[in-house]
Order: sequence, then C-alpha cells, then structure tokens
Amino acid sequence: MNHTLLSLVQVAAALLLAAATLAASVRIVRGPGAADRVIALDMLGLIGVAAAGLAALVSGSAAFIDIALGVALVGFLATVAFAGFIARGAIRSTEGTPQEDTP
Amino acid sequence: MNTWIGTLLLLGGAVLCLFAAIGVLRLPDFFMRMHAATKAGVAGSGLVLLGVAAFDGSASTWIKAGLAVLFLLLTTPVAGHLIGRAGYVSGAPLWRGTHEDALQGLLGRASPTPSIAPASAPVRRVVLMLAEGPHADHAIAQAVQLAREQGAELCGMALIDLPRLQNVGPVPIGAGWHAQGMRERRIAQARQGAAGVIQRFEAAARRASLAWSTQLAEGRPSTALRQHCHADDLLLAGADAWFDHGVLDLRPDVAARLGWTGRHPVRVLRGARPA
Repeated sequence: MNHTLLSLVQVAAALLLAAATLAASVRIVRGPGAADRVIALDMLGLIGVAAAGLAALVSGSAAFIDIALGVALVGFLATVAFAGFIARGAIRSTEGTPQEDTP
Repeated sequence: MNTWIGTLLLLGGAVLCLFAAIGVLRLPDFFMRMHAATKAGVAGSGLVLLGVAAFDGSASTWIKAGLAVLFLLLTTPVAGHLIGRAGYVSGAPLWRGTHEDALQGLLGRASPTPSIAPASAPVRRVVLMLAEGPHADHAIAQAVQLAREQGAELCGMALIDLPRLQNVGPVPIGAGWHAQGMRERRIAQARQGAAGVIQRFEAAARRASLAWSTQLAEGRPSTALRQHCHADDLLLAGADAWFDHGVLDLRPDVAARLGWTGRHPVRVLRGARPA
C-alpha cells in the first residue's frame, strides 16, 4: 500500500471520529437530563481513546498509545462518580428545566 | 498484509464510533442511548486501537493496545451498569413505545415527571391572546389589571387560525373556485375581527400607561405561541372564543386546544356576558 492511500485512510478515520465527537457533543448540550449528558460524556471519552490511538499512528510517536491506555483505564471513573451523584439525587436527572433556588 | 488488516480495523472502528455517537444523539430515551454508547463505543474504540497496533506491528504496541482493549472491556460495562441503574432510580423517562419494564417493583423509582413549575416563578410578561368573543372586553380589563399587579409587561397577541379558516370541508368537483372565494372571505372577516380587538386592546393599554406591545401572527395558533412566547409568560385567553374571531362561531376549550407547556398554565377569563 502506498503512502498516499495510507494518509487518506488516516484522514478518513479522523473525519469519522470528528463527526462522532460532534454528535456526542450535541447530546451533551441538549440533555435533557443529567444522565443523558453523562452518557454522552462517556461516549466522548471512548472517542478520545480512539483519537489517541489514531494520533499515535499519524505522529508515529508510541507515547500516544500510552495515553489511550491511560484513558481506557480511568475514563470510566467519571461516569461511576456521576452515577453515584445521580442515584443519590444530588443532581436532578429527569427532563425539564432545572429547578430554581427559591428561598 | 498488515496494513490492509490495519486499514480495515481502523476504518471499521471509526465507523462504529460514529454509529455509536449517532445512536447517542438520535435514540429516543436514556436507556437506549446508554446501550448505544457502551456497546458500539467500546467496539469502535477497541477496533481502532487494534488497527493502530496492526499498522505499527511492534510487540510493545500490540501489548499496549491489547491491554487498552482489555481495560475498556472491563470498565465500560461497570460504568454502563451503574449509570443505567442511576438513570432508572432517578426516574429517567422510558420511551412511550416501551412494552415491558422488567424492573418495575424491584427498584425504587423517582417520579418520571417532576413538577417543573416552582409555585413562585415570577411572571415576566402577561400575554393576552386576543380573540373576538363575548368576553373579549372583560379579558382585556383583567389582563391590564394582572399586568399591573405583577409588574409585568403586557402583550396583546392576536392570532388568526388560518388552517381552521381554510378548512371548508369536502369540496365537490367544479366548486373549487367557490371554495377559494369562501376561504378568502372567511380570512378577511377574521382579520377584520382581529383588528377590532387589537384597537380596543391598544386603547385600554394606553389608558393604563403600562409597558405594552401587540403582535399579530397567522397560522396554527399552537405553533405561533411556541414561536413567540416564553415559559415565563402568563397566558390569558377570553372564554368561548377561538382565533377565527367569531367567523365560524367556534367555542372550544382554549387552554386544552393550545397545548401550552409553559410554567404558568393558560388562564381562561370569563366575565359577565354583555347584555
């Protein structure tokens, strides 16, 4: 396989991941609940793992693989922490506008 | 050979990542989104990592990529399980096509539709929907008084229900021209009626020396309301009137027909019928 085709594959993969990032970001903005946002954040983390792997390939630096490894290892902790908050009711997770603080 | 396998894995993984993200964006309820993110997301990222390792080919990269995939497979189900449980317990709504809730009665669940209207939400604007009808003048007087009490801006919103006015029923063959004339006459009459109410509203608002405005919208009333009004608006309507302005003599339940979902429900004003 020649060099041009290789870089074309990398560009195509990067564009696909960019589109995925965009879709997940729209879900973060839209919500409607905290749980939906946390799931979209988790999705962004997974895309981040893939993007770090791709960066290793594009840059030729093996350090990016270590980053992917690290994110894959600890990326779920944020989701677990948020799940705890949501289950305890510290964050409102259902639809609707957040409740206003009334004295 | 390795590069072809790498290309396949890399592109396949990236496409799966995109599918997962589209699923997170488009699926209708929280649980389906979680399912898309965890399953397809892990498969996508894992394939991309394996593809990178296939390109590189060195043992250390294979080991690192393999470890990363292993960790993804170990950790994401944990996160997915916990967030799914948290979503269920906190009352994330199920899609309305859901047939069976297997956790019903097994797991406590907060009310899926919490009240979104704090009782003391301030009214930013009092919107009177102007419609020619038996209680129109009473409604205008009430709206002026309410706006003064709340210290809110007063807005007169004249709507003309074009779809309803244009609906003349089944038209026999050859009567298209007549039907068209009928539609135009009805709309002209309704506009005249609306203009009359707007004039009376403007006179009353000017006398009251409040901040006020008027707005005219033609089309489906519920759509027009959603475009022009905010959740903080208090909506008022005169009883026994619709936005045909008396042309068709419709008397529907205004509040129900508008489908308004703001913080303050539509208040229907009914005064003494003028003699």
